[in-house]
Amino acid sequence: MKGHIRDILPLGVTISLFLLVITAWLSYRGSVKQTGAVGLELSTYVILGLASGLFLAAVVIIHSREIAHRAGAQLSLKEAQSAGALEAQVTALHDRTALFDLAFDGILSRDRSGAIQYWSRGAEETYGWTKEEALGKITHTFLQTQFPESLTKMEEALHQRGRWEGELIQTRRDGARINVASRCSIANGADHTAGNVLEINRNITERKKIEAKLQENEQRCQLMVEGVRDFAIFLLDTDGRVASWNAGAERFKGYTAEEIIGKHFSCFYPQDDIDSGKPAMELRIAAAVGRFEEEGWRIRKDGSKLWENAIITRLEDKSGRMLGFSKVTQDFTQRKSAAKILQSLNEDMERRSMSLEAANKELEAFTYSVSHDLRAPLRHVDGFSRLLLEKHSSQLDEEGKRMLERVRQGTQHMGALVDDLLNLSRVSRREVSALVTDLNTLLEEVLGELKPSWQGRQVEFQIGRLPFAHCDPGLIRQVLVNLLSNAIKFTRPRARTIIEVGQAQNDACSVVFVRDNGVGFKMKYAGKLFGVFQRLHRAEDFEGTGVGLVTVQRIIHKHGGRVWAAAEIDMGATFYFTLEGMEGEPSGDNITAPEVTAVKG
Amino acid sequence: MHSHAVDILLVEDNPDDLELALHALRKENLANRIQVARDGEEALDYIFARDDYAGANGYNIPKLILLDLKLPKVDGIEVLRQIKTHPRTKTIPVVILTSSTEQRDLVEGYSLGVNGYIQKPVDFDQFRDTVKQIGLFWLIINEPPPATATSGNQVS
Repeated sequence: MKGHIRDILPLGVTISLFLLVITAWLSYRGSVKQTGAVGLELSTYVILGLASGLFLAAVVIIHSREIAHRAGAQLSLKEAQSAGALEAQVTALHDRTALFDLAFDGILSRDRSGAIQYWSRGAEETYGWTKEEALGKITHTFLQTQFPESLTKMEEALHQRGRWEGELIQTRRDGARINVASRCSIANGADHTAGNVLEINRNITERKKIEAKLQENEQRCQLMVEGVRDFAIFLLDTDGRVASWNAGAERFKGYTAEEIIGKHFSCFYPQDDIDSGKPAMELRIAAAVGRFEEEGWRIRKDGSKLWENAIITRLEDKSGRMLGFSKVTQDFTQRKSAAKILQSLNEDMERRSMSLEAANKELEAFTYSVSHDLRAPLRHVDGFSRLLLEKHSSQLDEEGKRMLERVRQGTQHMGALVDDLLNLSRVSRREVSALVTDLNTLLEEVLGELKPSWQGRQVEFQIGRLPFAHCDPGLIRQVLVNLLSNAIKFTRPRARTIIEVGQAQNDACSVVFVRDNGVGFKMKYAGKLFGVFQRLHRAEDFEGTGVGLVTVQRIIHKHGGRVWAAAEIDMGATFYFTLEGMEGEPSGDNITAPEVTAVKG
Repeated sequence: MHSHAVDILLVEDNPDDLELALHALRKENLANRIQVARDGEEALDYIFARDDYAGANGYNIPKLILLDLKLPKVDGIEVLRQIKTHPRTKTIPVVILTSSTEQRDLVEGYSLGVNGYIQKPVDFDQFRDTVKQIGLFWLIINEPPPATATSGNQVS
């Protein structure tokens, strides 16, 4: 169309010019001849002139309109081109700020007055406020910011250096206080953006919590190590220089932390060890195998010796790189000396027990020869006295015979003494081999054995139920024999003898007693009862060696029990004894015959 | 028969004990032939017919041996051991007659196979009674082992 208009313009101008030329020629010819049709001439000229003029005007108008149209078209294209570029720029900017929304950190900007201008998605997440809620708010009021120093100082720093970074405490929409690592930059340009601040804030609340906990643990650990007084705990660097020091180390070695940190640990060792390279060797071993332990002498700061148990442990990081050593030490000086004392005590005890054993053997040899050699002359005195009485009685008067009888009685008493003493010594040496024993059965046997000793007398036994006891039956049998023999002996003057054997309760403890209605004794002499050769009765009244009750006491004591007596002169005597592990219920009943109870397992 | 050459071999070192024992034995008329040995060595020499007692048949087998324990040279327990471990002499009844009732002597004596263990009473009447009982039992009441049991391997 455009080409069309351009093409017809010269044609239009040409046609218009041709019409004008024809009109002009015609007018010329009319004036020369002046003979043609006069009417026709003038109107034709006017019409032709007007028509060509009109045509020319139309062509020019059309042409000029065409030109105008063309120029307009060119102008709008330029315009269109310029608007498209802006749009692209806006899109790119939008895309870029949208990228900011991808950041975890909260990104915000504020103007000089502190009003929030930009609020990223990250800021929304960090603080819980939406962009719409946040924009226009005064940042630090809105977020109730607590500054490490003050807002003023922070602003100063920001303006001086153009940036600030630090930790803030701010408040979320839900009221939760959060720790924020904040980095701010200020725009320093001369344009309208001057004084605008960009903040990139990271929520470090969780990290702070973990850090606080770690720090607390670390502090606790450090306090613990430092406070331990019973162990020296310290660190050595890879060369063996002291790197840390605790209270125990100070207590053991006498150095303060200030004095020792940085010194080589070989200063704790005796000179001999240092000369032989022992400290270095210990580190080498610990470095190679991870651990070295030993006990040995060390030197305190004051030069005194200390016996310690030390463990050196290689310390390494996760990658296995050696960081140094820990050394944990215990002061065994006292233990060492205690061990020494114990050893000497043991040796002493061993010596004593050896000498005791020797003494025992000697005693045994002595009693052995006593039993042989002491009795032999007695037999001879008695034997020959008897033979003298038999074979040479004619040469002896009655007084002589009586005296010889006294000699024989003396020797027999001496024989009894020797026998009883030997028995006592045997009992003393004998080891208790304890069994669960039914004392009722034991008593029954003893009564059967002693029966001849009360032949021809009227004796009533009142036997209660006796307990079981954990005892040596052979030895306790002898206790019963001795106590019952005494009861039978010291009731001899009684027309009717009553001997009671039973069990009583004394302080929640079972006690066996043997009671008689015999001659008794004065309680003020009770202390002499259990002494060797001590007698409370005259020999002509009651025979005896004064060894029986000592033997009883020794046996009871060997069983961890007690024996005692209560008596009144002419009112009889009661002997009580206890044994360890005696069980049974006291029986108040007096029964006249021994009651046999089956031995329980 | 030489095996029962004597009724009793009395092994006793103490002269007083010996006199009293012989007195007691003779009073009861229990033993006609009593051989005395004054120590352990002499007792063994007699039984095994050695040295002063050397004889063709090699052994002297009494009907009973009364053995003291505390003896010079060879003690009574050793004498007992040799008698009781020898096949030829182990059947001879041996009664220990001693002052001691020490546990270890009793245990050792019985474990070696002694036939009786008696403590000499201090009272001479009791002693005499004891000796009488021993003689009565071992020489009269008790049936002795057959001669073959003790002399089975005898040379003559």
